[in-house]
Amino acid sequence: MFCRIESGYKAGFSDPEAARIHRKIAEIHPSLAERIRWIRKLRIAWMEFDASRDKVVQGIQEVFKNPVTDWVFTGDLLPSAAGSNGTLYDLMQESPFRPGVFHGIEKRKRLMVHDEDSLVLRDAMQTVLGRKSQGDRVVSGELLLLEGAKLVQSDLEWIARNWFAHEQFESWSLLSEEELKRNSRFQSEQVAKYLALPGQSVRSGLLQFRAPGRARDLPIQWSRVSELLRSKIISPSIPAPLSVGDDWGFLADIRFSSSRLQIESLSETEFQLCRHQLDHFALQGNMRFQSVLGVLPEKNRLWRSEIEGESPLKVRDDFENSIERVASSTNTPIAVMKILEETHEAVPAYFFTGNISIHDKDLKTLKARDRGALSDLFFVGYGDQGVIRNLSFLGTLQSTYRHGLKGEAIDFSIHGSGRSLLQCFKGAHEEFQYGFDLVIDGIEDWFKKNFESAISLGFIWGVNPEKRQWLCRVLESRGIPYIHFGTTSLTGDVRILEGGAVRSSVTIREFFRPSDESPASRLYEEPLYPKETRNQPAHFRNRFCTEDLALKPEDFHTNVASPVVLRPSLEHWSGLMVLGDLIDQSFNSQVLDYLMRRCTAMGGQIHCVQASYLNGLKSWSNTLLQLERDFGIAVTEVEFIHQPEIRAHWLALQIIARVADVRMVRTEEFKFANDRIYWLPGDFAQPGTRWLAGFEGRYQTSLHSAVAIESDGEDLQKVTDALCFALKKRKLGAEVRIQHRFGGGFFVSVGENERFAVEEEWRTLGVRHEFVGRVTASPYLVIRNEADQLETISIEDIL
Amino acid sequence: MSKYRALILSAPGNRGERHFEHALRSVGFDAEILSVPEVVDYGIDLDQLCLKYKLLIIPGGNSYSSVLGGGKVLALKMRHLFRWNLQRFAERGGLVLGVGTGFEALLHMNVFGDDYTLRSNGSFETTVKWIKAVPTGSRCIWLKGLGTIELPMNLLDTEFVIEPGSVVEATGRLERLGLACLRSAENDGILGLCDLTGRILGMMPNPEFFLSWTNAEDWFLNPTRAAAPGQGYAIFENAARYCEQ
Repeated sequence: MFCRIESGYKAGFSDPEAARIHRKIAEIHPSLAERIRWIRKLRIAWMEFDASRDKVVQGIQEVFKNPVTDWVFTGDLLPSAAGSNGTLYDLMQESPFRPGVFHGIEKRKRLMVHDEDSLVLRDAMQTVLGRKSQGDRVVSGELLLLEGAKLVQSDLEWIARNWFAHEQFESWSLLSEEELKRNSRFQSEQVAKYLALPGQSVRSGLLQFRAPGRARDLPIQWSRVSELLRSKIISPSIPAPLSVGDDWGFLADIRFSSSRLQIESLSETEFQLCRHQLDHFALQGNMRFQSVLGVLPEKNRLWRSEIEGESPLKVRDDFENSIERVASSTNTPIAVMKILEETHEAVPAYFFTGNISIHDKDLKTLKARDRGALSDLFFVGYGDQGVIRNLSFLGTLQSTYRHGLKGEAIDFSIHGSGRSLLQCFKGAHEEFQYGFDLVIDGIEDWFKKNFESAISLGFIWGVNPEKRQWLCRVLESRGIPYIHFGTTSLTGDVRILEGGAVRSSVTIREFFRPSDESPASRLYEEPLYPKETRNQPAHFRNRFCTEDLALKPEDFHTNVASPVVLRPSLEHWSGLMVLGDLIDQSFNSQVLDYLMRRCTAMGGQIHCVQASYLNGLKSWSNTLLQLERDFGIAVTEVEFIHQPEIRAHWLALQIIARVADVRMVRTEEFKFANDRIYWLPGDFAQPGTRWLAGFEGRYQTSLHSAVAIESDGEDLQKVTDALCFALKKRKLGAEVRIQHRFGGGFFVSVGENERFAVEEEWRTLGVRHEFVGRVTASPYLVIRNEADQLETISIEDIL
Repeated sequence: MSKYRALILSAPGNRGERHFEHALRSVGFDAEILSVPEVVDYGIDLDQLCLKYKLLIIPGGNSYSSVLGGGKVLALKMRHLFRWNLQRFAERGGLVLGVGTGFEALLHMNVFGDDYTLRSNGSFETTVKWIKAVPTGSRCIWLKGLGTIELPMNLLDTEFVIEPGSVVEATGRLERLGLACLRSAENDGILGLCDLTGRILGMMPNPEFFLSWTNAEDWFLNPTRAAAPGQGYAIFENAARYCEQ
């Protein structure tokens, strides 16, 4: 049952917390405080409990009702808990300026943000209801009720942003007086909307087995997956699929892989579904498609028409035919996730990527006879950060170590305090010179946490396997925490093992290579750029699969012409932004630079760049390597074809960025007349770029728009084009002063009310900015040039 | 003296449990601190509580982050999870002391009636202040024989509130039955309530933080009394004396 509860002081009592907010506003903004004539604060809870109405009502009565001081507003659940009407109208009646003009600001914790209040509320309700259910959910929030005839929307926004809500982890909205007086916000549908996880309305059927709200560590129901796969087969003429048994590795998190690696050692690969490639992969043995993705720019800037390039329709036909052929020849169930058709330009373009899972038998498995076990590797001590060094614990540890040495149980010991596991391994060449295996079953979280970050207090011990049990008993008897995480070996490789299979491996020579580019640092594939992850979402999966990218919630499509796919995470509003494009031989660093800047302008934090060659030329590989060097971004080469085919020399490029909140993605169009337009230089080393991407600062959300400008924007025409494009949608105009050349960067617009806060933050963070003009209501772009002459361009004409 | 057992109920956010433990042990109780999950695990329902323990302490602090108001969630736990009825416990001879938000928890359990509560007075003071409190009446066992005492108090931003619709009746009831057993020496405001048996005491000042004379702010002005017990100590001595009888 869904319900919304609002509780606050009765009309007869003063509201100290609301008065406190009023006092604080008065200190900063006295004129605004004068316009607020009356203020109240209420606590809100959106709840869903798997219980009958009577039980929930009883629970609310017990938990929320304080009959002496509080009123509880519940819609129609508990009308007697409030005043005579049972609505906020009762509270409004107590305002000294009746009938008054009322406004509401409502804030709530963002989903998946740690919400202590909601946890306690849920616990309290569950205590009263007498049982717990996985589906019970509570989101907490507050409602500020204000009365003031002279209050305008910008005032309320200012209060919400600056005093009421913390936008990093709370979202807010304004409520009108009519909405406050009505009870519609208590309806189940409205409450469900707040509690619903983001992907619920847009998720694909195939994702059912990874449905939102379900814990990720639940075992997958393979029969259900098989059923779904069968139902999604493209053609009914395809033979019955294999039964999905345990011997098939159906991988939920597929990563993008490079074809440079040995194909035999991979469990999956990604490639474009060109016909000959499918045939090539079909020869490799048993395989199965897990998903097929088609993501394409709706407006391809470099589209060359059907005459010059291969027809996208032909590409699609090839794709579908190929899938059917593979399905019939390999007896493999095939699932097509979604093909996004964009008809914006009437000539859609496509490229396709997909995943293949290879039979588990092809995986490298570790056999007992191959395991040259010399020493078991133990981590002893505290792995958690922030544990204070405890001298008495250290003394116990040292005495245990001496005891172990005496008993010939410990072969070697490596100090781990203040160093990461990687540093420990690298600093002990002699112990690990023949290779070692790390077994991460059950301790993956611990491993991830300590692999590259410093351990608080601990040692790595090499333990004689014959004395292992004895040592374990000693450690347990002395209360010393330990983890057995691997063995040394004679394989000459450093391997990470999971479930008996090799998850990743590098040779010992590569591991100890002194260069920073050692593959060891990529064992966990942490994002290489940017290093700082200040605004990193709370629970972000580094390994995403193509399925994530394929889903495109229509509601969140950002721009009329932007080839952007937004994908909110299944658990919260953070997500991925994929900006793709097809680029011909004119591809150069400026193109990539521009695409990345567009991502940044929208508020994305660049994660990686992926290149798929529809049909590539060899020289591009050098270009890509150079870009990786220049930008520090891992460019994944998905497929190389060294023999170019005629006519199709395109590079399919995807920029993948992560977004803290997909709802807050900025668009390019200017929003309101009288907004101020600023210029921010957009080199990737500039603090302005970091600020726009959300790594620093907190007022990015105050921006109304951000337009990316190409780095070869010396040409005034390109700057003008970008501005016109941003003004087109709302038929606005602008008056700008362009008295010098603009290189790559951003034009941003900000409202008059927000500009002080934004400018102050820019000054604090050292973000260079320049005021260039204002947005106007008439659809003309008026440019004051270097010679101080005015040039007027009609927006409609230029477009 | 034979040792009676005392239970100190510890909830997330509470503080002062160790002080209570020290105080009770020093007056002869066998004190035990149990958290909420431990009480559930050990199956201490009302019968077990009456059987095993002579005294129950509900410390102050910010139990459960004071969501829903101080002590509210703890009161719900005691009523619905533990199935405790503290009036019944008192009738069977048990003693209960709730301090700070522990007092609020007792109010939320309607131990003293349902017309009273504590609420914020708008000062938002978070410091500790020493206040003079005057025990009134002779009903409360905990305060028996005490004169004006000076105790530290954390709940400075809180005031005692009576249901506006029944102020006259509720106030009259407190006066008539002598339930308002602790008042402020400064403004005569209510600082503590006891129940009809006199065995349940809820109070806003914190006696557990004044067990030794050196706990006082100005103890060094009178260093010869450094070894003397604090004024909060007398409350626990009263409890021990009552159990002995």
